[in-house]
Amino acid sequence: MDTGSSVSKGCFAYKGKKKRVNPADYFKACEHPVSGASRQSTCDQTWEEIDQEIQILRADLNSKIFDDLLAFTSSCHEKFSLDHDQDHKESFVTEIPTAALVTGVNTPDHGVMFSTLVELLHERVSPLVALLRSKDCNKVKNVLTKTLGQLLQNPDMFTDEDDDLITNTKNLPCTLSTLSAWYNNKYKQPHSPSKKRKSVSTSEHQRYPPIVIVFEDLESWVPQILQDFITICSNYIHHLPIVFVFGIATSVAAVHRLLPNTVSSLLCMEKFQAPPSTEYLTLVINQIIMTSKFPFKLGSKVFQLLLDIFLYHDFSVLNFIKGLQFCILDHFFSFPCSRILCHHEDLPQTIKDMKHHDIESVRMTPSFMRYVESSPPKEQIALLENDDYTKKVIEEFMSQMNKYHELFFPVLRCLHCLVSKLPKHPLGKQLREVYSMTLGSFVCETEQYKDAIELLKMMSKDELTELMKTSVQELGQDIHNDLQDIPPDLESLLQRFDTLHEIPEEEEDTDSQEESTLHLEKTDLHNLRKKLMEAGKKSKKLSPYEKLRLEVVDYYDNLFRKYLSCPKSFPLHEVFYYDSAADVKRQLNSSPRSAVQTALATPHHYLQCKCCEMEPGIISSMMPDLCIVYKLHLECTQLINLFDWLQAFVTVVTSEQEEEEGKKKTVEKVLQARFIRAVSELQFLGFIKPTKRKTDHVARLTWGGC
Amino acid sequence: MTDIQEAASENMAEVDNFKEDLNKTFPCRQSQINLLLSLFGQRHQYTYSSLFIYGHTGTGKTAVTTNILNHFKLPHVLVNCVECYSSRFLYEMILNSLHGNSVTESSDLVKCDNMNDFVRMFKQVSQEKGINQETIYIVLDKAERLREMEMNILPAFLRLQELTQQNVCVILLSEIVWEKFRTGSGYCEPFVLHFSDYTNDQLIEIMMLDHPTEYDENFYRMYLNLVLSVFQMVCRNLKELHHLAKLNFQRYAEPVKTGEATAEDTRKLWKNIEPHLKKALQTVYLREVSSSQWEKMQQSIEAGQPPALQGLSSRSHVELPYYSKFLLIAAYLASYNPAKTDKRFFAKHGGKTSRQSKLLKKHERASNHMLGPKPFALDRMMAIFYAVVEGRVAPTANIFMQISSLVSLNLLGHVASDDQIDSPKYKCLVSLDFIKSVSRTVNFEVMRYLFDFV
Repeated sequence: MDTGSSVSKGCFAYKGKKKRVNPADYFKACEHPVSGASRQSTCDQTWEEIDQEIQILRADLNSKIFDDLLAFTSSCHEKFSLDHDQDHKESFVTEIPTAALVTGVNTPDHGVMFSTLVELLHERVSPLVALLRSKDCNKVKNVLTKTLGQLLQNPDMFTDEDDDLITNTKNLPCTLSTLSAWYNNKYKQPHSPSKKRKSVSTSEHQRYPPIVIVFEDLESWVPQILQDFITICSNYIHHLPIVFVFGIATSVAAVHRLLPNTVSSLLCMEKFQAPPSTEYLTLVINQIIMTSKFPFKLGSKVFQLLLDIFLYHDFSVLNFIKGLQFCILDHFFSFPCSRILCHHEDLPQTIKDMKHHDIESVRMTPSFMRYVESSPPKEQIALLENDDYTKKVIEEFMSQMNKYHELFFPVLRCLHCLVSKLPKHPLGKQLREVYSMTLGSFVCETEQYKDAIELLKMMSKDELTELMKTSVQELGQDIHNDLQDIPPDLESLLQRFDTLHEIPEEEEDTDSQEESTLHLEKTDLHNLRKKLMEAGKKSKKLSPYEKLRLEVVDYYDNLFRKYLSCPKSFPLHEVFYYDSAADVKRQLNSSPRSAVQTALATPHHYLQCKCCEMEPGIISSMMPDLCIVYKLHLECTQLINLFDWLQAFVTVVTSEQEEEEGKKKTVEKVLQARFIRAVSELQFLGFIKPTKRKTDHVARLTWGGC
Repeated sequence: MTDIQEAASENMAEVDNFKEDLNKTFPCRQSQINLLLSLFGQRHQYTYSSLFIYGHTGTGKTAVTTNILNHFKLPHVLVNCVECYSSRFLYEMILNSLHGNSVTESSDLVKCDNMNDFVRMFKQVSQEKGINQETIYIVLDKAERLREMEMNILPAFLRLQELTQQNVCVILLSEIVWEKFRTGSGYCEPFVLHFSDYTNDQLIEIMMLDHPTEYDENFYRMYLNLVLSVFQMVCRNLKELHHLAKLNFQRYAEPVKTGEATAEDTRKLWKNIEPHLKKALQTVYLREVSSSQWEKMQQSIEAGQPPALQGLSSRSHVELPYYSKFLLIAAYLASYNPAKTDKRFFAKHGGKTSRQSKLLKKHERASNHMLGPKPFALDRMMAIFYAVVEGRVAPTANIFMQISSLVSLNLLGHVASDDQIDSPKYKCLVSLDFIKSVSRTVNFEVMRYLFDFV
C-alpha cells in the first residue's frame, strides 16, 4: 500500500486570472452604498495623512546615520586619481574602505532603509551605486553580473554620445577589468567634449565618483562567494575607487565569521550604528498615535496587541505601521458610524451631511445608548426621534471628544515625566506604557497609580523640583487655553520651595513634645507602651517641606484626575477608538497550526453542522473521514501501522450500520478508498510521512511517541 | 657578434643597476631576485617552461615578480585566478591582453572556451603581434584556484611551451606548497622557488622603509621594536604589523611633540604607549575601526567617557525580540543537551537519575560542548520553548517566522536533511557566552538547564 504517492502529486498550481481588487466594491457591499463611498474616502484621507507623517519621520530618524555614512563614502576616496604618477602612489588607499552599518535585527524594515540609502547615495555621493542581496548572489558570476549590470546601465551615466556603450555592454565579459576600462574611459579625460556631462560630474560629484557597493544582508551571504568577490575588488582598488557598505543585522563579529583574516585585512572598516528600531517606534507612537492631530485612535487592546507583536516577535516598525493601516481600514469598513470621524474643522459640515440612516447607526452605538438611558425621559424621546436634535448632540459630543484629546496628551506627558524615573516603575518606563494604561481604564483608580503617588510623596526636595521643572517643559510652549494656568501655578509652587527655609518652624511642635516627656515620668511600663502606641498612630507633625510636597502632589493628582479620564467613559468614543482586538489578532497574528488542529479535532467549529456536534475526544462515524483518521492517529506512537489504522477506521465508520453484513465485501473496498484518501490528505497537511524504517508503516510528524 | 656582446654587456650593466634599485625597494629578498633574474636571462632566451613561486602572504611574491616584468617591459600577462570563475575567462583574459584589446570594444574581442583553441590562438596572437622573438610571461596569481577548474588546465599550462612551440613561460604564484597541487597526471614539474618568511630584523628593516620623514630614523626604529615585541606573539604578517604600527605611531610620538619627553627617553615613551598597544592587541586582525575612528575612540576614553564601541562583549551584543530570545535559548538547549535529558529538565517529575545513567553521565560529561552543536528537530525545540517561556504563547505564524529569521541572521543553522519540508532540522550556532548574555536579559538561568554544567 503506497500512500507515498499522495495527493500532492496531483496538485498543480494554476495562477489564474489576477483580479484587481477594487476597494470601492468592498465598501459598497455594506448596507448603504452612499455612506460606504464616503467612508472609503474618509479612510483614504486619514491614511494618506498618517502615511505622509510617517514618511517624514523615517527621513528624519535615519538622517544622522545616513549623513555620516554619506560623508564617509564620499571622503574615503578623495585622493583617488587615475593618473598613475609615482608621487601619487603614496596617497593611494590600499585597503577597501568599508562602512559596517549595523542595522539591528528587524529585517522586514531593511528593504526600505536600504532603498532610501541607495537613493541618497545616488543623489549626493556618486551615480555609481550597486545594491547586492544575498539571494541574487549565489555564485561569483552572479555577483559580478549584478554589480556590473547596476553600474554600467546606470541611466544617469549615459549622455547621448555614449549610447553605443550601452548596446555593447551585453557582449562584454563580466569582469571587473571591463568595469575598470569603462571607468577609465569615462573619467580619465578631465576635459570631456560634452559640456553637459562635465557639469554633471564636477558640480554634483567629485571628479572621480566612488563606486559604492552595498551589501544588504551580509549574514546570509555564502562565505566563499563573499571572500572571492572582496579579493577580486581589492585587486582593482588602484584602478577603481571602490567603497563597500556592509549591512549587518547582528553585530560586527559576523564579518569575522564570514571572512578569514586574509580577506578581512583587505578591508578598512568603520562602524556605523543605526538607531534601534525601538527608537523609531517610540517616534511613530508619539507623533502618530499619541497626538490630537489625527482623530483616529487605537483602543487599549489593539494598541497593546500591536505593541506586543512588535516587542515579542519582530521589532519591525514596518509591520507595526502595516498593523495600524489595517486597523484604520477595518475601522472604516466595519463600523458604520466611522463616517463622522473627521478633523475638528470639518465637523459641522460632516454632521450637516448626515442622512437619517447615519443617525440611526449612531443611535445604535452602545455608548450613545447608555447616554440615552441615563438622560431624562423627555430628552430620551428627542434623542431617539428628532434627527436635528440628535445631530446637535452628536456634534457636541464630537467636539467634546476632540477637546478632550487636545488636553489629554500634554497632561499625559506630564504624568509620564513624573513617574518614569520612580523606583520599580509602577506605571512603566515608557510613555507608551502609561498611555496604554490610561486607554484601558481610568488611570487614577488603578493600584499602580496609587503606588506612584505614594512614591512621589516620599521624594526629596531636589528630585521633586527637578521633576516639576521638566513637567513644565513637557507641557510645552504653545499650550492649550484650558491648560494655561498650570505652568504659572507650578512655577509659584516651585518658588515656594525656594523660600521654604524662611518659614519659621511652628511652635506647637515643641510644646507637644515637652508635654509628652513630662507625662512620661509618672506612668508605669504598661501605660508607657500604650502611650507610645498611640503616639505612633497619631499622624506625625509635618515639616513645612512635607506639607508643601503634599500640596504639590495633590495638585498633580487633581490635574490628572481632571484630564486623564478614560476615553471609554465618553459617549461616542467608538467613533474614535478602534478596539476589536480579536479581528486584528486573527489577521496579523494568526496561528495556522491551531486552526488546522481545531478543524480536525472539532469539525463542528467550522462546519456548523448538527451531526458533528459532540464533546471533544469522541470519535463518531458522522464526522468527515479526515477527522476520524486524524483522531485515530493521535492515539498512535511514532510509527503507525496502516493496517491497524484501517481496521480502526472501518470499525468506527461501520459501528452504526452493522446490520448490513451482506454488503461487507463491497463496502470494504469503498471504505478502503475513503481511508486512503483521508490518509493522503493527512499527509498533505503534514501530519504523517511515509517511512522506510518499517514496511506498511507511516511516521508521525507531530509528537509521535512523546 | 660584437654588437650582440656590446648589447649584452650594456644589458648586464642595466640589470646590475636595476638589481640595486630592487634591493632597495625589496630589502631581504636578494637571493630570490637574483635567482629570478638569472632564470629570465636575456629577452630572447628561453626561460624554464614554468616557475612555481610560493610563500606566505605579504612575502613579496607578486610585488617582486611584477616589478621585474614591468621594469624590463617584458611581454607579460598578469591574471588573478580568483577572478576567473570559469576557464573561459582565463583564456580570454590572457589572449585579449596579449592582443592589446581594449575591453570596451567588444567587436574584436577574442572568443575562446577550451584549451585546444587557446593553444592555437595563443600561437596565432603571438605571431601576429610579433612578440614571439621574446619570452612571453604568463603570471597566474593565486594559482591554487586552478586546481578547482577543469583537470587539464594545470598540466597544460605547465607544459605550455611544449604545446605551443613558443617562447613562453608560465609563472604560478601561490601560498601553498607544490606538493598540494599534484592531483592528476601529466604534470611537468615546474621550477620551484620559495619566498621565505621574514625574520624579526627583516621585518623592521622593511617597515623602516616608510618611516615618517619628520622623525628621526632611530626613533622610529625604536618604536618598531616596541611594536614587534608586543605583537610578534600573535602576528607575523607584515601587512597587519604595518597597519598596527601606522595606527599607533601618532600616539607614541605625542609626548615628543608636546615636549613632555625627548626622543631618547624610551622608558617614558614605552610607559606611555604600552597600554594602547595592549588594547590594540585585542583587536589584531579585526580591522573593525579605521585609524580615524580609533583615534576618536582613544580621545573619548581619555575624556573620561565610557567607550561607545569597545570590548569583545559589546562587539557581539545583539538585541532580539522577546520570544526570539527564548527560541534561541530553546535551540541552544536542544543543541547541547542530549534528548534523553529533556525529561529531567523540563518535566515536572522527571528528576530521577539512576546509578547507571549517572555513570553514563560521567562518561559523556564535558563532551557536549566540546563536540559542538547537534542538530535537533523543530518539534523538540518548540517543546523546550514552551517549557521555558513564561506565560502561554500561542503557536502563531509569527513565532515560526521568527525561527526562519533567526536562520537568516545566522544564529540558527538549517541542517540539510533528506526531507526539508516535513521535518526540518536546525542547529544552534551561537556561543555559550552569547546565550548567557541573552538569557540574562530575560532572567533565565540557562546554566541550570545545561546538562554539561549541572
